[in-house]
Amino acid sequence: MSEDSALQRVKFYQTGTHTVGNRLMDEAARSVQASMDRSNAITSGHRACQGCGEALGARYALDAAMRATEGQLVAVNATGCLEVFTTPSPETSWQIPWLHSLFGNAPAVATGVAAAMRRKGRSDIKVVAQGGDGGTTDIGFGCLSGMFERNDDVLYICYDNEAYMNTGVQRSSATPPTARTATTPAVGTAPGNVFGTGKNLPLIAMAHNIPYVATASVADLHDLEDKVEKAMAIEGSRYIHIMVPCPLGWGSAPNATISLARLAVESGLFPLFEAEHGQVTRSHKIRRRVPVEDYLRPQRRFAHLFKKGHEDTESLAALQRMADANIERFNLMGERQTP
Amino acid sequence: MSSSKRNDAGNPRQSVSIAIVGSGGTGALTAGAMLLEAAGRVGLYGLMTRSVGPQIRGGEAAALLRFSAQPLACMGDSYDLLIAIDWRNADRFAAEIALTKDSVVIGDPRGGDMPEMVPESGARTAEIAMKALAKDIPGGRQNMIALGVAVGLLGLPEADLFAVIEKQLGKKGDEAVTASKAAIEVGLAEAAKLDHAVPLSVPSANAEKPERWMITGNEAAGMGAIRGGIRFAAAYPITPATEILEWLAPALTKVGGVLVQAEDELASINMVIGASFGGKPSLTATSGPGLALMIESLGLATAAEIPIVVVDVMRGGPSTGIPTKSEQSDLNIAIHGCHGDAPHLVLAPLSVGDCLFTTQWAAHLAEAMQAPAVVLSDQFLGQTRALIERPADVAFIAQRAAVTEAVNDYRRYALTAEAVSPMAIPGVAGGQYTADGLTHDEAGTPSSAAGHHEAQLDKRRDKIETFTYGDHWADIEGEGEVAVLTWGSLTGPAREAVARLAEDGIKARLVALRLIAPLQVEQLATALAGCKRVLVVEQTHSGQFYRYLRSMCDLPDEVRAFHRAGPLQIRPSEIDAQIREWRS
Repeated sequence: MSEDSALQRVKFYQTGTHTVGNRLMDEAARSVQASMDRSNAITSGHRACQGCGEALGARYALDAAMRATEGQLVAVNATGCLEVFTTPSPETSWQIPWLHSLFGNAPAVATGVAAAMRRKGRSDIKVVAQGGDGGTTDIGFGCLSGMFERNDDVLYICYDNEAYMNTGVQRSSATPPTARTATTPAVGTAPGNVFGTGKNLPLIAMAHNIPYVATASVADLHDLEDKVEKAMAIEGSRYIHIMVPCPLGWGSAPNATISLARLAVESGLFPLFEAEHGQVTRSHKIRRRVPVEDYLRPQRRFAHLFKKGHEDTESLAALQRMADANIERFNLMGERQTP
Repeated sequence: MSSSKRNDAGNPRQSVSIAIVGSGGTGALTAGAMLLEAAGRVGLYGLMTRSVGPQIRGGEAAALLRFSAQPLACMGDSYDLLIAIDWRNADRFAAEIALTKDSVVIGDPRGGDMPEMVPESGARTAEIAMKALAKDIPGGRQNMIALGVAVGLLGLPEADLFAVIEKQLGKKGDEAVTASKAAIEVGLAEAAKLDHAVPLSVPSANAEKPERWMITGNEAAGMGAIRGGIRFAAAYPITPATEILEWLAPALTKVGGVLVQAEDELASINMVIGASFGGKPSLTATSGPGLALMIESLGLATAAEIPIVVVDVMRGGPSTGIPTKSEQSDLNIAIHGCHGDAPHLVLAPLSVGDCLFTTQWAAHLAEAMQAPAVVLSDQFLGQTRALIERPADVAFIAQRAAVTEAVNDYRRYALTAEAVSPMAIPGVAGGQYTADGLTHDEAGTPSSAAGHHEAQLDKRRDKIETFTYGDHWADIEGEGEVAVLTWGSLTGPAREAVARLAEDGIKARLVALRLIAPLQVEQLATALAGCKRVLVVEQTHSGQFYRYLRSMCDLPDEVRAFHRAGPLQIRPSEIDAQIREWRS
């Protein structure tokens, strides 16, 4: 959301938001990507698939972090698609100091980098650690919790595409129930991933009472930039969880990445909110609520739910209940906050 | 290689090596897989490896194939036929596709610049406008034209290829099948225009078509696990071992077993330890970085005498290394990784098909000795798809000395003559005990007494050192005063090198170790008796196998170490040349 300073006195139409484009915004509130001076922290020419949500999310997040820190940024990267597709010899997309940790330890390595900067008296240099949902919710979970508990001065960004895509689409703790992956095939009496109890990393991060936790989506890139900028102004552990659709793993059209990310938000399956010191401070209100079916149907990983004549109404109802619970828990249908 | 020359000479090992390359998404790998399957239908033997970069999409991709009417031990030295759907990024695998002046190279004139390796090799070249030709066919794809060209030049029956197309593409509907067949016909016609044939001798049509299995080492390892009695697996995705997990997931369900995809490697191995403690033969599969994480628990399984199998599909190391390519450099960590004195089993399959036997045997040995077994496969064995003869059924199955009826005064770690003590499974009255990684006494109670420590260390050493392993510890072939001593996937090139030497009347032995630890020192001495020269061959940078052998046993006077880091597998001609040069 924009600052008050971005408002113009005469409202011909909806200025002060990004709806009508950047040019009507106050300069400071314009999209980072709209600026000729943006850092291009991740340059184009990388090897992500067409329609990769992670490439988009990472570019916006990193450039926003660069603007917020005036270019004084170090990135630590866990193993995963982002690490792989940005760095094949002889090219690299990274224009900033960048350290590939292993799979499960990016938070600890980032802690070390931050400690070194502190020891050197370079508190102007900020550290971002990033990983996918596998590296964050599964193998890197212990290190991440340690980083939170110590409140180390690191922003950790999780790019969540809901499975291990780099190794060929195996389930992770972030894979939604019923989704088909290589290790949760759509066969048997309960096809696809199981209905577990879930592992909601943003809520777990909040339980550490760290200064800032947010969820974001590539469907709303301005909101994503705002959250990253806000996070960079805070000292201590910060966590941003970004939903990034994966056409390859989800079985969706490359040009549907943004619309799917939006449907995830508008169905309530992926709530957008911010929390400070363990308390939700703001949630993104759903403008036009849609049934979960609208979000699930375009994705082949859920195709078995919609087999003609064998529609899995039970699973669909259970997924709808998950969305409903989110809407209630995060107050997603309440009054929209006026900017 | 000289394979085309050998063809002319009517060599019984005649083979043809083909590479189909293209940038990611052009379908080079699909064409290669279909070619392999078609060859299997006519009873040929074959191998197909993939060379892909680490990137997700859009990089280079090469299907590397070799066919023969005789069983194949390894990939060839060079390629008889290279078909480039396009040349984009082809320079990245130039080192992997060796060409000679006898090679035939076919490229698309609009497929980008031919890499320098082609003119440098002196290979014969031809142009086929695959992309343009495909455009004229509704739904036609350039990779199907390339496939038609390959089949035409090889002289494989068209009908068998079409049968594969119908099987693979039938699901996509008639249009896809028709389009592919039309494109293949165009490819066949183009091939007929060339005078660069690289024909392959196909087993006679009259003969009964021998049954062939088409299998990868990772699939074979999964099958070996199930045949060996493994009923629980836990694993975490990691290249190039993930297919074992993917193969076992449905397969275990069919036999009443269970697979869990864990949240990391630590969880995988410890679930496996728990399941084995609970009485089920259990396995995990990983690659080098995963094995490194598992090492502490490997020590626990050793100390607590809980049998487990860990399949390590090795890749280039250290650290993240080269995830998609092969190396044998996990040998040191597999043997020596544990802290403390922690004897356990280390085995290595000697071919793609042998992944089945070795994994099955590993399950048997682990259970028999109540010790962890590490199976060192690698990316080459694990991900190469091979046409092989149906592997023999073997009787090895997990059989654990267990306490099944109520007992009194149960001592889990009792010192027995064979050093293996019956293990009580939870649920047996009186069989409760503390299973422990702490040094313990015979009952399992933690102890720091010197006597208990030494007695249990002796027990764990003796049970695996005094076990009778039979003939499976190594493959031994040939005779003579020169021996090639190797292990794991390097057995293939070594085997072919020794066979080539034999054809030229040069006697040489092959000794390929399947059981790496405990090293069968006496049997090895017997196998090398009378040898004056030993060439130790392995795919490591530092000569890990050579150093291991040197630390464990005496070798004949003249020993040479021939080793190289991955990913370029040592070729049979290189081993062959080493032996010839040494003789002169």
